[in-house]
Parts: sequence; structure tokens; C-alpha cells
Amino acid sequence: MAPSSDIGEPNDAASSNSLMEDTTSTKKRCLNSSSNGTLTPPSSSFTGTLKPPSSTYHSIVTLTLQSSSRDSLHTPPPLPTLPFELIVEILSKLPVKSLIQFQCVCKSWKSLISDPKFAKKHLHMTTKHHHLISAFASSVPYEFIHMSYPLSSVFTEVTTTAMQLEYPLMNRYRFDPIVGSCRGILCILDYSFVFLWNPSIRKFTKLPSFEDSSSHMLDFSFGYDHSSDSYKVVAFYIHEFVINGNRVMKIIVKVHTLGTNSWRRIQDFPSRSFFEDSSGKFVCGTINWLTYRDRTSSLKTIISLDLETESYLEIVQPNSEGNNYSRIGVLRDCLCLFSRSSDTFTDIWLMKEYGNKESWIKLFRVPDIRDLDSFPYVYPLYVSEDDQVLLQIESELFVYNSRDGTFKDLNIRNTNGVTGTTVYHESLISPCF
Amino acid sequence: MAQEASSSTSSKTISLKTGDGEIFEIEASAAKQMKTVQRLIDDLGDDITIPLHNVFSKELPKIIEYYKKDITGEITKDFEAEFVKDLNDDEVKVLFLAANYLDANKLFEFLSQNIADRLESKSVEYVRKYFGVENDFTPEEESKLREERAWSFRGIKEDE
Repeated sequence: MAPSSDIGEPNDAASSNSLMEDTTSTKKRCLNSSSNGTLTPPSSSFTGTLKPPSSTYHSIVTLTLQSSSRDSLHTPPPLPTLPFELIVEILSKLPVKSLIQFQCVCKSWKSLISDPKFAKKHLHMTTKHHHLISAFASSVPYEFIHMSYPLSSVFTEVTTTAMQLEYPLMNRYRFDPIVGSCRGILCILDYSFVFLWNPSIRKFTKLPSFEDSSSHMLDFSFGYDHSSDSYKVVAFYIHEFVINGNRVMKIIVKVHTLGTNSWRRIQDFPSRSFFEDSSGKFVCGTINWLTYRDRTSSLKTIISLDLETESYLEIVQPNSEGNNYSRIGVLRDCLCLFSRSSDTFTDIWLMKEYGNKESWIKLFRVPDIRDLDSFPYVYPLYVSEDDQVLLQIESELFVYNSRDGTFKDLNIRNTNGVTGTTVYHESLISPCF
Repeated sequence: MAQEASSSTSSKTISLKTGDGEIFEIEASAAKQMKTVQRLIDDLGDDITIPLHNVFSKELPKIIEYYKKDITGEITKDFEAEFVKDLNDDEVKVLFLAANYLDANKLFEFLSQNIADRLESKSVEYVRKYFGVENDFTPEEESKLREERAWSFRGIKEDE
């Protein structure tokens, strides 16, 4: 087999900006990771590499002309080889598992596949890489099993190739909640330690310890700041102290930027708010919490932390009849509000343009699948392109078809609560520095 | 995505001549989707036969078929599945190269995804042959890499 002269330098394609998505040219806030519009299309710069060496040219001709007399070939003509740039285009559309295997193909491929620029290009490719991770207690006492299901097969009838993930930590006597999932990295809370784990490439890292032990740990959240290309973990804790005999409560916020070795204190959380559901949701470069306006009010508001400026803003909710019981989440890369104002359905509101209160739309009204308790756990996790909603109802997972109003039971085992089930977008991005 | 053709090209067809000398007709609006063709039309005018040295009579009709569907907005997942159903891996590769040469973005994206889908369950050896890539690892290096990645190799089809 003749060595290909078209492969070129190992890092050529990987370092060339014209090949990798130029992330600075996309809108700062809402990088729609599933949009194919952001891909670098084949440009006229490729026609330069297409002037093939004459041997390849002949091979194309030979292949075509002999196609009708394939049977009479004694020696097969040399197959056309692709320039490295085109190989990159194909590789970026493969699932992570295949790419890990294909690092064994040759040195330039191994280099490419572990290049962070390629990881970014790969990340933005398709929604085919979306998975559902669910965790449940195994029959072995105190152990939990993490399973991963490709979302494409969850929505179709195709049999799921569920994969068990190898949890990197020793299972303790409780389930370690997954507090965030962003660009292929999961943020896991193990007592007072925070871990970042990419299960697709089997890399994990432990964050520096959180020094303040005198306080009550409230919440950790996880997100990505596009402007500095960095991952941030946000920790909240309540700090109670006494001033002039009065008990005062502050919500102290610290941020850890992956790659640094400390937690930095930032502005306190707008102090008169409490948490309804303490897990912050990452969307559009911000982390969002649904909170009560103050200690006495039952009015809720959404507070958002911008990961670039590390400052807060209030997001106005949509006009709904009386969101007595609501949660927030992220669907289709947009901030969503799930509200129950009566006892028989959940409204899914979606903010099409982040921060613009006029852009709230009511996406779906999901009826209750059966009689549920007064404050049931109904949590939409994902919406497919054809308007099917994956949701967790109490401790079970269903797909609601909004077009015909039917439910499908997924028979996927998982623990109770949102920390047991996460949508995960597989990637090559490593949390290790 | 159908382009709104200007009145002078709305029902015009362009003649394309393949590298092996055959001539095919294509609607001007479909030709617009192939940037290389459009550039040649801009340079040479739309009245003459456009020469495409690197595309041949086996591939061009298939490409034209794709873009005929595209301009009427009829490209569906079913159509795309049908389109590649009877093509073997090498035929798809040649078609992909042609789409790249023609700078036909939509077809290029579709075919690159299709090739990726085909390669997903293939072995490392198959992939090397397919791309004409030489293994420049020593046997020791390669076996070490495979050992480190043993978990990713579970469930692979035997080489065809």
C-alpha cells in the first residue's frame, strides 16, 4: 500500500484556523451547539489541495472507467485518497468512542484527536452526540450504576445501546449528585469535594478543596464562559452571623475557574433571595436560579449570574396565571420555566432570546400522565426536533409526544430527583490541565 | 433550500461536461448550489458548456439528482437514506470528493456524515485502508495504545 502523500504535516490541519470553527465570530451569548450553520464550509481554499498529483488523478479516471468491468480486474486500482482537511471533516462527525479507537490509526490522527481545537470542532457538530445519563442503585449495597443512553434511540423505536459508565470514584454510602453537565463534562459533588468528569474519554479531575467549613454548603453549579474559553464552578453557601444582636444571613458566592488552583469570592448573591430549587441551570453563558424575592414573599424571580462579568441580573418571568409551583431548566439551548398553576398540567415556557422578556413563548402544555400528588416532580429534560418531550415524572422517565398527546414509558431505572438523570453531550473535551 | 433565481436564469439550464467527456444538463438554480460551477459560470458565461475536469460521468448524475430535489425543497431523511443505500463505501468516498470539488456544501455535509456513520463500527485496519493511511506506529507503540483504550474497542465488528 503506497503511503499517502496527501496527509501532510500532523498539526497542519489541526492548527489552521480556516478549518476549525472560528468561535469568536459567533454570537457571544448563545452558541447554539447543535447548529450546523456554524461549520466551516468547504471554501475555495480547498480547491488548491484538489489539484491532485497526477497519480491520484489517473486513479480516479481508472476507477470510473473500469467500473463496468469490475469483474475483470486483476489488480484493483489505487483508491483515491482524501486530503487531510477532508478527513478532519469526516472525523469530526464520529462519536467519541470511535475517535478514541481511531487514535491508533496513525500518529497524525492521534495528534488531531487529542487536539483541543479539534475537540471544539467536534463538539459543535451534531445533536447525535446527545445522551441521557441515569443513575440508579445497584443490587450491590451502596453502589450506584451510571448508564448512558443515546437520545436518538430514546426517541425512536430503535433499540438503545445503553452503555454502563465506569464511575471514577469509589462509591460511598450515598449517591453523588451530578450538579451540572456542560460540553461533555459532568460536575459531581462528593461530600465537599467537587469533581469534573468526562465519561466519554474517561478523564476526571478533582477541584481544590473548599476551605470554609464553618458554613453550610448550599449549592454548586457548573458552566462555561465562552469569552475566556474557561469552565467555572460556582459555589454558594449561607453564612450566618450576628450584628448587634441580630442574626444576619448572607449568601456567599465563590467561583473556581478550571485551570486555576483556588476559589475566588465574587459578589454576594442578591441577599434577600432564597432558593426554591438550589441547582443552578447553565444556559447562554449564564447560570440561573429560581428564587423567592425575599423571605416573606411567595413571589418568585429568576436570578442570573453572567459567567463572563461575574455579575447578577434579574430575569423577568413570563406572564403566567399564577406560577404557584415552578422550576427552571434548559431546553433547546434556551432558558425554560416549567410551571404548574393547576393540578393537571405543566406548562413549558421557553425564552427564545435570553434576557429578552418579550421573547417568552409557551412551548407545550404537558398534561399529567395520571393522577399525581399535589406537588409532583415533573421535570422536562429534553425536547427533540420533532417536538417530543423527554421528562421525568416522579421517579420515572417518559417521552411525551406533543403532536398526538401520547406518553411512552421508557423503562429506564434512575434515582429520584433531578440529580439522578442528566442530559449529556458527549465530547472530547478534557477537564484535566 | 431553493434560491430565488433572477428572471434571466429562472428556467435556464446549464450544460456541464465531465472529465470523461459526457455532457449533462442542470437547472441554473441547482448550479447555484455548487459554488465551483457558479464561479465557472460567472467567468465563462452561462451559454457555454462548463468543463468539470475532476468530476466524472459516474458521479455527476447522482449529484444532479440530489440538487434537483434540493431546489424543490424535497430533501428528507428518507430521501437521503435512499440516496446512499446502494452505494458502497468507496463509491460514497468518490462522490464526497466530487462534492468537495464542486463546493456543493449541503451534499458535502450529508456525505461526510454518511461516511462517518459507515466508519463508526469499522476496525482501525479498515479505516487505514479506506483512507490510504500508513500505520507509522511501531508494534509496541500500537499495542500500548490499544491497551490504554481497551474499553473503547469493545463491541467492534470483525473486518469485512
